[in-house]
Amino acid sequence: MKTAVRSAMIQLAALFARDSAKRGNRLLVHEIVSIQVFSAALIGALAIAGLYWGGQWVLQDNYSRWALQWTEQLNELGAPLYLADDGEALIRLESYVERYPEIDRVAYYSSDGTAIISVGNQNSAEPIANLSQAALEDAIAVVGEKEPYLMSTGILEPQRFEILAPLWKESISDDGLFDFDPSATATATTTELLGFVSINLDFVLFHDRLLANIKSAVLVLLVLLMAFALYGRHVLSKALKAISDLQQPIRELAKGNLSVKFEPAEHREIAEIVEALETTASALSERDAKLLQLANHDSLTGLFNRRRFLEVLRHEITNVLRSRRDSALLFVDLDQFKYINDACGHPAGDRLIRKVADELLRSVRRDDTVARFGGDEFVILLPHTDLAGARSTAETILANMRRMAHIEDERVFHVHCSIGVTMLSGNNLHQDDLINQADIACREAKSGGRNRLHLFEQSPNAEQQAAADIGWVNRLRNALDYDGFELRFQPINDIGTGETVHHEVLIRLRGDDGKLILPDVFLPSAVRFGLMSEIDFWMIRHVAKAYAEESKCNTRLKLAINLSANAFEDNNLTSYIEETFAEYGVRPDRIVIEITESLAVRRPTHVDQQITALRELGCEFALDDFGTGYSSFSYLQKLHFDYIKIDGAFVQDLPDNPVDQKMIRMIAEIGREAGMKTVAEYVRNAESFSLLGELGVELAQGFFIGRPVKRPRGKSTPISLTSRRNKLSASQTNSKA
Amino acid sequence: MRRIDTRARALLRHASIVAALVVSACSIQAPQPEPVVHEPIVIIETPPPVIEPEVSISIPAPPQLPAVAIVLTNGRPAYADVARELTHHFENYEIYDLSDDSRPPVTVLRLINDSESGAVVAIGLRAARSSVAMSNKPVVFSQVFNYQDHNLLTDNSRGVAAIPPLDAQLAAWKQANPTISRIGAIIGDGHDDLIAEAELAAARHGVELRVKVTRSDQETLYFFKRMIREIDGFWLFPDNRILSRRALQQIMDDAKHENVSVLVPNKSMLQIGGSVSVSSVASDIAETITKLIRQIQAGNIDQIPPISPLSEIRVRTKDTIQVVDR
Repeated sequence: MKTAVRSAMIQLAALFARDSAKRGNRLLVHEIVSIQVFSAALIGALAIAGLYWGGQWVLQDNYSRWALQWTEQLNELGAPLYLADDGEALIRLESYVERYPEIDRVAYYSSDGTAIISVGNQNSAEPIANLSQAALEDAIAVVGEKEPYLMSTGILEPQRFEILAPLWKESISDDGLFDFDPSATATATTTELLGFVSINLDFVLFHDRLLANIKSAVLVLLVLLMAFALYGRHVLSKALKAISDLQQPIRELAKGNLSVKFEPAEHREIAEIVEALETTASALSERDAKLLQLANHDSLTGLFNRRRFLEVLRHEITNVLRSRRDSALLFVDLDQFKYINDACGHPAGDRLIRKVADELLRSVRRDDTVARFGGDEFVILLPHTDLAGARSTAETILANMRRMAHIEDERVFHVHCSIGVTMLSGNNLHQDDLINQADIACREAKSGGRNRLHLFEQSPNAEQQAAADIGWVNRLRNALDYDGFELRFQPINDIGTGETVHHEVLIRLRGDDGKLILPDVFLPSAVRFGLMSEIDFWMIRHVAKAYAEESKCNTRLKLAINLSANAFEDNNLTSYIEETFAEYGVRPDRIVIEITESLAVRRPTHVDQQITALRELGCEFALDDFGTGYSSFSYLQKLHFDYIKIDGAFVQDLPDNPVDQKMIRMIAEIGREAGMKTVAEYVRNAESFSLLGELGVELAQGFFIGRPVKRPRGKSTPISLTSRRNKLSASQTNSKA
Repeated sequence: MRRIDTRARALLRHASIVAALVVSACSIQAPQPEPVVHEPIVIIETPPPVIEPEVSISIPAPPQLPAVAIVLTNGRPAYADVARELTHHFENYEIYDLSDDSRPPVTVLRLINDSESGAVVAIGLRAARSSVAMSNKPVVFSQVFNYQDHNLLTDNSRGVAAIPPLDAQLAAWKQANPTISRIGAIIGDGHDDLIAEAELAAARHGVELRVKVTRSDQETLYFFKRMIREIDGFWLFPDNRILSRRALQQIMDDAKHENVSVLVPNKSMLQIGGSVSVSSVASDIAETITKLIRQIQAGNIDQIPPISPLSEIRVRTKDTIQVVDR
């Protein structure tokens, strides 16, 4: 059954395919001409039919009038047959009938229908029959009527007529002529039937002539139709040729050749099509140009973007190879841009970037290429430039940047930059290497104190180092794709009770040698290559997964996650956390999200919305590394955090630094007043631990409390402040002794 | 016409006396043409030897005319005008209208027979036939053309000619159309005297006359069409037996087409194509009737010819009527 259906479907498809092929071969000219010829033929046929019927009608009308006239004449001529025959009546009748060949026969009857005499043009030996009673009655009924005769004709022979008319005499009653009134319609009259006259008429001559004329008309019409068809085909072919001519340019247009030219058309309709196609081509060209602009240029500054710059660089490398003349590549990184961006917001940062771009363009030659490479990074290609020229240009840029002042919110910012310079020469002609060299030189300049230039110098192991640096991207990519990261859990204890309150989850990367790599090593590369957000999301999912596993045996488990600003740039962060937590059964109130001070202070609107949403979900927030950046206590009052994590810089020398002690005390007091718990990081010894407790810090984290481990502690090993103090006192006594 | 009441009759009688006196006085002083009718008559001629036909011949008032019964076929002008003129001549008369359906002719004649009327004046064919058939008193009929078909001439009845004398008619026609030279006429049976009179008149006026006797309108048309190309004038007699409305119209159309002058007996026929109309004058008829009544009163009915000719004629042409009609 299925086979039969399939076979039928195949046949049907083949049929459709054949039909489609046929449709494709149809010619518009033939169809239009066919329609016109058919229409003309139809109209012509209707006209001929109308002519025939109209002619018939006219002839019939004429026949009728002639018939009436002849009837009256014959009526009069036949009078002597009934009345006083003057002896010439028959002769007159015959001569009258002879004059009209259409009159076949005239017969006279007495009042009772008996035939009296017959006169005709056709010699017929048949005697005329008497009138039937019905004919008699019908004829008598029309006596005195306006049309006193009966006329009949055959449907098949409309040219033949038979007329039967009564003959009567009439007189005015009494002496009516004494007072004859011509206007009176009713005059008393006396009528007496005399007999009947029958006339057979045959208008075959007229009919045949009409048919002959119609045949001629049909012939003429056919000739005209043929001529019309030929002429129409010629005219239409000529008119449609302009459309056919469009085929090639349209194909070119479809191939992407937007400079294609369309021949102007004579006909308005086709000219409009040509105009539309030209408009389309023009619009496509403009769109292409716009897309090219978008593809090659940075939308903020209008400079070449990274992609386009790399093309230019490749081209320049070719030129260098060909011309044997050196060129230079400058990598420019703004100093303190992050500060302005954070302090005044992204719009201010954008304005600064545009201003710097303008300044860079003013600082270089016309043939030099300036491109925006990243956020606050620019690259400049100086063709046909030796090292001295490159240095000179870099110094010019540095000098111009030093002079440039950027005013934002009535505050004046001086933005400096660091410039790395590398030369396109000799065997140093790989674009990735060149970019990397300039970048490395730029970092060297920054390391050297910023606001300076640094010439890249090829060291023996520099190549390996660069290769290693570039290799981070692949390693991070692989780690994300194949879960190459590992989690470590570092406890955070209550200083008063020594109990572990929660764990901070830390990320590690397993190196090729099997050793764990700390985040300080790979996170800068992650930030640079735009992988930070993906790492954050990886963390969220795996922390949730770990929580799901560990919370089975530790119901009080509470974990803290570090999320970068990149994570909050993603609008899906909140929904992702909510869905992931729901997936693994994570209680949001058992999760603390740590964000940096800079992100907390800046808090763009969309970040603020996400923090609010996550707080509503139940998550707690900790302000990480407090004290290193803005350290603005006023923010602590505005921002609602559950924890303040004091930066390790204040803790590591705490016992010997009274300033740090006062600072921590102050932070702890403010945190307490604001309802936030303070956490001290980098607690490495008992002394610091004890001192923190005295300074009012509530929680501590560090190697003294516990090193990062694979799994969170199921049970805490309390380190009471008292025992630590005792321990501390004993150690101090021993040392004094 | 209904019977006139006593007051009206007295008024008419006084008016007749006054009129007679005025006419007498006028005739003594100077003869003046009488305004016969108030219609727009252009030509009024009397047949020779009457020099001034329009002047009514004043007759000295007779002693006393008998009472007469005037019987009308109907109240149409051709009959009523004659009756009205008769009232000027008779003091005692009764007028009966046979078209009055409330009294059939038999009743009317019985009334007349029972009345004191000395004679019956019948105007029109129907009145004449009824009166001659049923009256026991002398009958004078008028306005009857085919009297011979109905046996109206008896010992006790006499008639007045229905048309003016033919000689006068031809004279008037010749005056209106002097070029007429060949005249055709078609008439029904029984008018041999009329044909003879016509031939005499034609001979007198020097015209050629062709007369054809027919028996129907069909025949009339047939012969008319045969003769029309050979004549320049056609004399149409008021013989209703051989004429129909259709035939009349055809004759007029053909005559107009062939430019043939047609003398018609009725002024209304001028409207359908007649060239000249000649008709009798009501007062002349009344005068003639009155003479006959006097002769009958005198007991001389046997000496009265069967049909008494008229003495006056009224001639109208188409053009003059048209002018007056404006």
